[in-house]
Amino acid sequence: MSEFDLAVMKPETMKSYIWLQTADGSIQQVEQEVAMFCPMICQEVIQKGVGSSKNHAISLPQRVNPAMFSLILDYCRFHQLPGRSNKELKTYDERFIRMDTKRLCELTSAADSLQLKPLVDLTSRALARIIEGKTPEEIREIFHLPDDLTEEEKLEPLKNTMDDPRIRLLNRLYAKKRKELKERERLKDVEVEEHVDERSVDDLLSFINGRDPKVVKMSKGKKKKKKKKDLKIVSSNDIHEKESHDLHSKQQCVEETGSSVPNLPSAEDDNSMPKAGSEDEDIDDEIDPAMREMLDREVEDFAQRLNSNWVRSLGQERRPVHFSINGNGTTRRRTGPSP
Amino acid sequence: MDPPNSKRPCHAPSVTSSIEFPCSLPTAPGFNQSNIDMTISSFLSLSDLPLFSSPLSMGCSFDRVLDKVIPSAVGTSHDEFKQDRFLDHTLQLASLLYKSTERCIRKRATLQNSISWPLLPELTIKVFSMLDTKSLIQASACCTMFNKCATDRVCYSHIDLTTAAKHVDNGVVCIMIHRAGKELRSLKLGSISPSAGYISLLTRSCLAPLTFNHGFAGGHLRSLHLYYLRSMDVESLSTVLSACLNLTDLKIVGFVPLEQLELLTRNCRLIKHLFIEIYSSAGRITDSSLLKFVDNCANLISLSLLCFLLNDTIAQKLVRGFRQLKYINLSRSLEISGCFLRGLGLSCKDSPLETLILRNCYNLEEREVLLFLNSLLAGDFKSIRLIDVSNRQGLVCDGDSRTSEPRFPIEELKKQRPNVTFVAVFEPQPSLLSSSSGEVYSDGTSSW
Repeated sequence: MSEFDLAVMKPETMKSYIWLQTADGSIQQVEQEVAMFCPMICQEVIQKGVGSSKNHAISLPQRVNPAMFSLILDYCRFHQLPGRSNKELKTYDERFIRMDTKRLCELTSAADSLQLKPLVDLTSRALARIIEGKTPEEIREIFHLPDDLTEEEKLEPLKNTMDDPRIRLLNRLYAKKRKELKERERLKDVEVEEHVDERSVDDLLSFINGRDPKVVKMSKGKKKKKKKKDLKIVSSNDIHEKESHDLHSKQQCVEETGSSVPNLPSAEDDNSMPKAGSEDEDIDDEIDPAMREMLDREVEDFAQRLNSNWVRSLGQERRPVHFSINGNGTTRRRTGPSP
Repeated sequence: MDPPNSKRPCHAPSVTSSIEFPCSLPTAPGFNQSNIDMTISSFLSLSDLPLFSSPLSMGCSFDRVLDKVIPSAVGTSHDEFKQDRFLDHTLQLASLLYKSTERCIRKRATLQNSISWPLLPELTIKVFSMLDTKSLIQASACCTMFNKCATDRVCYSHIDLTTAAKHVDNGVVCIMIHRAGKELRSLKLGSISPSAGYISLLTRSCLAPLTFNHGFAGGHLRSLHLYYLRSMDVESLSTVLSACLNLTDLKIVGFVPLEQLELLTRNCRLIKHLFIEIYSSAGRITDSSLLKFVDNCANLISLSLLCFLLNDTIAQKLVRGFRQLKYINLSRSLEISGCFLRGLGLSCKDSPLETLILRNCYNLEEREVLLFLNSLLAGDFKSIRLIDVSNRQGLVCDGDSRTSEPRFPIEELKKQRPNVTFVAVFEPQPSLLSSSSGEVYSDGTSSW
């Protein structure tokens, strides 16, 4: 909202009002300065020119119900006055957010749809303060959340359930490429990096903490986050970990369990013999042929792209292509026909 | 007889036999899936009938049917075997029904929750990103929606695992780092005030995930605080730090005798705040590594080296060498007498130094502090704001004696340099050992 726009509007509209229509259909008029504090209303007025009369009222987004809207107007009314000190604003804010959690959530939602960032920050922080330091039962009670996690899921709150078969195949491809690269390196007699203590994401995520339920636990291998290529390492001989792993193996996907041996912290070995072979075989069994064809085609595509990049990178410092396959959704960009 | 009732007795045995493996197709001829579904739904709707609406009457009906299995006379072992199988199947059915109903309840709850929850996922994630790590995990165990939102990268931007130090091990650290991805900004590990029996579950390679993918996560990390990780050694630490190229804030408390400051900071050129405290006086910096250290970290604003074997030459080189140094804390350095402060006066008229802390330096001399204060009165060190020379055992004065009441020109100092705070507390105080309770840096000063 630029100064120029305000200046242009001022001479024509002295103490003017903007007409707004809430989701339930009721129309009300609000002082211009107050309403303009909300970026969304501002945009509507300037870009579309609505709001100047009752017939052309700006219709507010659905998430803004009348009660919330009056709260927001109070907030805007207080904050848009220029002469307020920081302390005043702070005390007002603290009193303002004292309401029950349900209304607080609705207020956050309404403020977000009106793009009123300072209010969104304020309410989000208030919600965060409510959640802080509470047990799950307490949080469920406060927000009236259903208890819809299975016992296993509760014990493994860090489990990531992205289990896209494409990602698995891509990982297989990476593993093959890594093997090839290693072969070439060995043939060329290039010095391999020492102290390679890198593990594949799967191997690491196979770690499970077998202590009390409150503890953070992880599960194996459902998560396939690969940002760049990874080198696999040899499993360490940590018997203790193997035991705890076995205890929880029923909770896991059998294939992942079968393929990578649980390795764990303190891998002192520097040799990285990739276990790609065994992983390949185990994974093969589960994908049905039709799907596999389609996936194979995609994989070939990637392989070609990878090939060209790998060849380039061989001669240089071995910085491979940055393929951001991220469990949180960057793969959505690439997905074609999703299964 | 009621139709449902008449259906049940004759269907019950065949239903059990064909639903031995509920997920596969029935093997008995004449039964297809829809028949079974109909049977099941009519069984489940039995409770709607007025005659059977109370659990008591349903219970009685169940009893009546199952009692038919119990023979009046002793039969053959084959009969017994069949009865056993029948009862086992009934149990199995009952538990399958129970589990299925639970699943259904959960699914329905999830659906209702996703409709009634007022915040968009982005907003929920935004709230979660304001939570500390422990609360985040607690929240993620509440319901499936929270669980999903808690996996977003932004929530793991500042990972603080010091509050749950007893349960944290390498796997947890690894998962958190991977979850954070490119949003990782700060990481705190270890236990801030370890209890007597505290044994960390973290091993020396616990920070290895920072080096994966050519230091992908490490490269985003800005702040790293490590407390009492006794299994960590210099090599593993320096490997990790070599991946953290953008690190601006490093704090290491309670482990690793750090003679090789240079090694540690070789790659972290951007470092601004360095705090190292070791639990026993055992760290002597060599000259060459000191030079390299000063060279490498030209951006250093705040330096704290507690419990090191520093002498005045080294202290002087440190204060002179870092051009932008605003905060220096060399507490508990055994060999510092304070004469390095003399040497600074001439070359550091305009030094940006704002805070000088020399608490509990056993050999700190009263004379040197006096000279330093006089130089302040003369106009040196224009930016200084806080000087702290508190010492539980007093300052050295005139040879071997110690004084707890040194004669400092405090009044004059207050008059001439009103914005300077001079702290000199000499009573024996309760343990100052947990020095790492003071935390955050702002403008180079820290509440210690």
